[in-house]
Parts: sequence; C-alpha cells; structure tokens
Amino acid sequence: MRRIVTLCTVVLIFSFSRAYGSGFALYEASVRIAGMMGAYVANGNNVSTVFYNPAGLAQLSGVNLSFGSTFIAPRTTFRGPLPYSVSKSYMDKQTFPVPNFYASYQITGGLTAAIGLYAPYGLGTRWPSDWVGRGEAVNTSIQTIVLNPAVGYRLPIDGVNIMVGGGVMMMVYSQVKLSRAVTDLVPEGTFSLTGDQNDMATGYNVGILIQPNDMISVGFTYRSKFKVEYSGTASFDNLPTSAFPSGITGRTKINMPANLAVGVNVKPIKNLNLEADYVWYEWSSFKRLAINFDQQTALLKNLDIPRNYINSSQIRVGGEYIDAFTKGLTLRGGISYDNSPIPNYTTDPTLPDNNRFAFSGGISYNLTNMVSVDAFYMFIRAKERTVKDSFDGFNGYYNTYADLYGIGFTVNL
Amino acid sequence: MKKFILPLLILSATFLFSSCKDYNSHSLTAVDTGTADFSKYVAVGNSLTAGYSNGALYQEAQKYSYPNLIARQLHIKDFEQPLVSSPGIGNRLEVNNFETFSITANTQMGTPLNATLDRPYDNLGIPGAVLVDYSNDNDQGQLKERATNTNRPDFNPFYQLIMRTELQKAAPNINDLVTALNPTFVTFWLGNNDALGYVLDGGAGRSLLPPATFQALMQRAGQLLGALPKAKVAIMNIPNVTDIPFVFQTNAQLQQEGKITLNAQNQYQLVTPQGNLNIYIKTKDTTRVMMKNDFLLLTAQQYLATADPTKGALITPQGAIPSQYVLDGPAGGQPGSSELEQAIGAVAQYNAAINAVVQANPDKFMLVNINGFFSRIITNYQTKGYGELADGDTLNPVIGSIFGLDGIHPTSKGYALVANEIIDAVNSKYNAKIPDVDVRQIPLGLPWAK
Repeated sequence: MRRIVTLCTVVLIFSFSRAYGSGFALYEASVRIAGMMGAYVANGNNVSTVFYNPAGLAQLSGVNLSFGSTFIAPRTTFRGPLPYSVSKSYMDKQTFPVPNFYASYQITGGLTAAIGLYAPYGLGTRWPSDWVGRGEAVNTSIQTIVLNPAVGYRLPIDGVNIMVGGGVMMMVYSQVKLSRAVTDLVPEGTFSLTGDQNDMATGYNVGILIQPNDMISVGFTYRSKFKVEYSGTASFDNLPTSAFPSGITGRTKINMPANLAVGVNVKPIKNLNLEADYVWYEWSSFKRLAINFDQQTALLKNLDIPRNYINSSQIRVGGEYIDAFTKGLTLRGGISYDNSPIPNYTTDPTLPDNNRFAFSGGISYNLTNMVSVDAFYMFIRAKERTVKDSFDGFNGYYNTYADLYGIGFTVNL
Repeated sequence: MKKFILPLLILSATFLFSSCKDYNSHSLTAVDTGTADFSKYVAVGNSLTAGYSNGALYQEAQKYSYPNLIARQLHIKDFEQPLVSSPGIGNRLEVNNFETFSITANTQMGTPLNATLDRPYDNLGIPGAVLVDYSNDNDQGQLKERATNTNRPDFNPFYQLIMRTELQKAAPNINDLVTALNPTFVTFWLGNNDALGYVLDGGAGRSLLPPATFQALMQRAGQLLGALPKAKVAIMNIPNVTDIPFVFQTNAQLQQEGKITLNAQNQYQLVTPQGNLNIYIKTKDTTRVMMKNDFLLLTAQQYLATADPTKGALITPQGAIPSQYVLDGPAGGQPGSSELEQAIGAVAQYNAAINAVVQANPDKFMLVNINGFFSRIITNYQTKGYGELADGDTLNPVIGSIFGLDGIHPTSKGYALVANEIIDAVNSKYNAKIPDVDVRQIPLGLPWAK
C-alpha cells in the first residue's frame, strides 16, 4: 500500500483534470477504456473498473496497475452576438491533461481491493480578454480529483457468476475559477475568483456485474453526487479599489451530479467483445451558480447565475479485439451519443456544450508479459448550438469540437 | 474479425477530417423595416444624439449613442460617427470613490479618431447645438462665430469636430450636411438646448429662446426636412426640464439623507441640532424661504457642502443660496413668473411647435414622444419604485442608472432605452419589426478616475 500512496503523490504532481465534458462530466477515466468509448460497465476486467464498475474488481487476480493521461483539446467558435452580428470569435486553444491511476490487490480468490485516482468532472474554457463576450466569460475552469478506494467481491453462488463492488469516492482536490470583464465601467477591468473546496467532498460508488455464461455479461454502476463548497479570494485587475476592495472572499457551491450506467457485453467470437452502455447523469442537481461575497459594494454584488441543467443520457457502444493481426496487439473502437444537459437559455461561453457524437479508436501492445502500453484517440463533435433567448441576452451560434488523446500503461503482476 | 473494428476506425477518421470546420455559414436575417427605408440613415441632434455622456464626448459612450444602436439593430455597416478617444472632449466626469460617490472632472483631452472621413458623418449630433443651427439662414444663429471664435463665451468646439469643411461657408448649417448624404431616413432631435441653458443656470445666466422664435425655426427646419428628396423623418420632442436628475435629484437626495425636510407649510427646512430651520434662496427678484417647488440644482451640491449654517449660511436671508443654484418655482408671486413655470411653459410651447410641424406633413414626418417617455420613467419611479424594467434590468431615472454623472445625459443603458423608444415608434408608424436593443447587453459605462 505504501507504494500505491507514493504513486498517487507522483500522479498528483501533474497538472490535472481541466477538461471538457457532457455538461462538465468526464467519462475518460482510463486510456484503455476511452479507446472503446467507455462502454465498459459490463466488462470490467481491467483495474480501471474501479471507476467504471467496481464489481469487476472481483475478476482481477494478483496485483494490477494502470496509469496514464488523457489530453483534452476543446475548440469552440462563437458567431454573434445576435441579432446584429455574426462575427466569429475563437475560444483560446488549450490542452488539458487529465491523468489517472489505478492499482488493485487480490486479497483472496474472488475478493480484490483497489484504489483509483481520476477526474470525474472538469471543464476549461478561455476566451480572449477583449472578445465580444468578455462580460460573460473570459476564463472558466472546474478541476476535480477523486480518490476512490474500492473492493470487488464474487458472490459464492454456484452456477451463476455474480460480482458486487463498491467504494468511497473522496474528492481530494477541487478548484473552480471564474473570470470576466467588468463592462459597466470605463475603463473596463477584470474580476476573477479562484475558489478551492473547503472540506473534502465525499460520495460512494457501487456496482454489480453478472456473467450468466461465457458469452454475455451485464453490469450496473451507480456513482453518487458530490456537494462541493468552494471559497477563495477575489482578485481585481484595473478596477477601482473603492468598489472592489482587496481581500474579498467569494463562496459558491456546486452540485456535481450522480450518475448511473447499465450495459451489456457480448463475446460473439474468441478475442472479440462488444458492449453497449446507457449512461445517465442527474444533472438536474445543478440549478444555479450562486457566488456570495463576504462584502458587497456599489458595484460588487452577489452573483446568481441560472443553470437549470436537465438530466441527460449517453449511449456508448464500443468493442475490443484482442491479438489482432499479431499476438499482444489489441485494437479498440467506439461511438457515443451524448445529450447535453444544458438548456438553450442558460448556454453561455463558460460551457458552450450541445448534443454530440464522439468516435474513438484505441490500441494496446504488450511490451512484456506484464506490461502493456495503451493509447487512444477520440474526436468529439457537438451539434451547432443556436442560442436566441439566452437568460442574459448574449445570443449567437456556438460550434464545438474536441480532440482527445491519451497514453498510458497497464501492469499485471 | 477485423470487419468489426476497422469500420469503426474508418468511420472515426472520416468524421475527424470532415467535421473540424463549423457546419454552417450564417448571415443575418434581413430586418423588416416595413414601409420605412433605412438604406441611408442620418441622425440630427445635439449632445443627446451625439452619445455625449458624463460631461464629455468619447468613443466608449459614442459606441452606444442611440443613433449607433439603431444603426446596429438595422445592420447598417457604415454608420459613421465623429469618434473621440477617451477621456474625450469636455472634461469627463469620473467617479473617484464609489463609497462616497465623489466625482472629479478629468481635464485631459481625447483626440478625434475619424477626422479624415471624406463625407459628412451619419451621426450629426453636435453637443450644444441649438435649433437655429439646422437652417442658420444668413448665419442668423451666428453658428460660424460660435464655432470658430474661441474668445466668445459661447464658443463650442464640437461644431468644428462634426461640421468640419461646412464651417468655411458664410452661413454653415446642418441641413447642408444632411442633404449631401441624401438620407432615406432621418431622426431629428433639436431644441433641448434652447431651454436647457436657462435651466442649468438656474435662470440666472442664459435665457430661454422665445417660443415664437422656436416655432419659426421649427417650421423652417420642417420645410428643409420636407424638401429632402427621399427622407422620412422621425422628430423627437423635448423632455420636461424637471425630468433630469440635474433638477430633481438634489432635493430628493437631501431629503432622503435627512438633511432637509418639508414642513406642513410646504417649506423646505434644514435639519440642525437646534431644530428644523427655514432655508433661504435668492431668486431673480427677491430673497425668500425655499418652498416645495424650488429645485436645488446639481451644481448646488458643492456650494452646500461648503456652506456653514452656524455662520448663517442657508438659514438666514444674508446666507441665502445664490440664484444660479436654484430653479425657483411658484411661491405666490405673479402666476407663471417663476423660473420653473417659465421653463415648463417654454418647453410645452416648443413641443406644440414640433407637433404642428409633424402634423402638417404626416406622409414624411412622425413624432417620437420622448417627452412622454421621460415623464413615464419618472412617474414609474415615484409610484412603483422603478423607472423602467428592460429585459430584466431594473433601471431608475437617477445618476448611475439611466442618467450619467452630469445628471443631464443618459448612461449607455439609458441611451439604449431611448433607442428602443424610437424603434418602437418607427415600428408602429411604418409597420416595421426592427428588434429592440437588449438592454442587459448594454453596459452602464460609468467612468472612474484611475
């Protein structure tokens, strides 16, 4: 275990987990699994099943390690503001590394303990400081890191293979950032708030994996929500100190949604498995973003930004083919469709999301009997979002796509 | 087996390379202007039309002048204004402390940014312009002198900024510039300054333009506007003089702060440790106790701040507030003789003259009742507690909301309300569907002292 803790620390040194998700959920918790579009809840034979379905841990023997990083590069353009302009603005190009780490240890046959470290939520958008929507958003980010000790256990029932699992999710790190221009003043200035989570938010995850025979398995996972409270000192650039005094603390709460996934995995022929998952997020928990300051002034007022997200679902289909062409080479692929949780009227440049397709391909190669290298690439394309009735009148067309890629290693001892 | 995986990868790759660009090209949907033609829009007016705000003309405010906002709603791309860099021309007022709301004047000057335009500006709003400037037959309004002779007390640098080569003529006038632009639509808002100078000086300086003169000048302007070959003209009338914070805010503010109070005899009294004491004002003819309808002007605030009642200031006839700080109201003298009644009466007659010109040529002219708009926001404020609810923004007719720091000119949000009032009137007259400006997306534009 000491070794595991050390490794966790190493992973934490990365700059992590600012990314781009359906809403701000991230499902790319493993390089390997992302290659098959995260369709994995009914599979679970890799240690990263800590995230996807902790019941799968019961299948693992010995000691297993998996670690890597996904890099997320979202790109968005805005055309507007409507109704008087369709000028195009480009979001700044950023690439966010989202590392992950998993380790498991088989205690006895059918009982395996594990630990995972990943980022289930995150977003990062940055627009030029002089862009037309600077009063809405310049820089916005949410970062999370969850530490997830978990166990998987095979029920001692003859004839049918039923595994259960569960764990505690500890949000060991989370930070939100928000900056925007104060456009009511001449000259304009910039308001920024960086808030760190006050107390470690916690949750839990549970899962079931049933394998009636060698051909088919079904899985179910539930991950609870996190209620995260943030506070931090606001900073003001080029703003009058009489209205924006230094040392003001801002506080906010964000409900990160619970989600569940169900899936079916089939192995039609040797070395091939295919899976279809349905993933559901309880995004309706994110109703508003309220930022309260410990001191209000003539110009600095508490913010209450409506969000009113709706529950959303995703269909994920993927598969992997083991020993393709040559022994030790695994190929993966997948497709997903996500429904955006963000209603039209609260869509804004902080997160210009929409319903979207994603396509992925991945590869693993066994370097030795014990060590394999994993890689994937994913392309996400959101449908164009046309906003004409925004809650604060900032309207236009958003187009978003993202490139995701990752590299990692899997070690089975 | 490969057949399962490879199609997936190929599909991925196809989407990858085909879909990195925005899907659709977008163009703006044409604005429905009904039976009005906005292919060439020109705005005529004074500081209110120029986008003057907080005591100066500068580009951050000019961007939100009501003509520019209207042009933007109409998707007019080449609507040209005489932009001036910050802090502009005219000693811009700036907040230097938001806690005490103290204000300073910035004595720096901006420079013209669009001075080489080889045609007249589409926004011909000239701060300080008066009605005679539109026609200025035989230079009867001495526009040329006021524009060029820096020694005159009424010298106005804005004529040079906006009229430029027109000033080389013997009798320069705004109509020549409008005619050269051959507009299809004109908004016309002149005449405020023919009454405003009198009001700002508390009746102790500039005088009111006699209503008969105003009527003749308005008829002449109507004649010239009517002669523009293609133009329809929206003519704005003039707000009541008491509808600007420069006039009404000081009394209200002092009362709210508990510094003065109104007694049963409708006399204002100064609240002192020795009790409530009468306040004395000077009028043109006499010195008397300040009554309910006497308005302390915004300029009085500085005077009041230094006045010391323990030495007799304010509360004795000898310490009476000088006439230029008070717009005195009716107090039992000859009916109609007070400054307030004089100004109100003049504006009413000006508006009657404007109305007559519009009525005489309804095919070409329409009225925009800006007077009614300002009355409405004041009445709303007094009776409902807000001036105007605009797209969820609550705006009040006070300094820092609808009005800027000079207490006379709107903020950018205030100008957006004016733009919407004009747009609504045009929509109704010409069966048009020009969208209103979304006031939430317009900044207040309050200058602050760095």
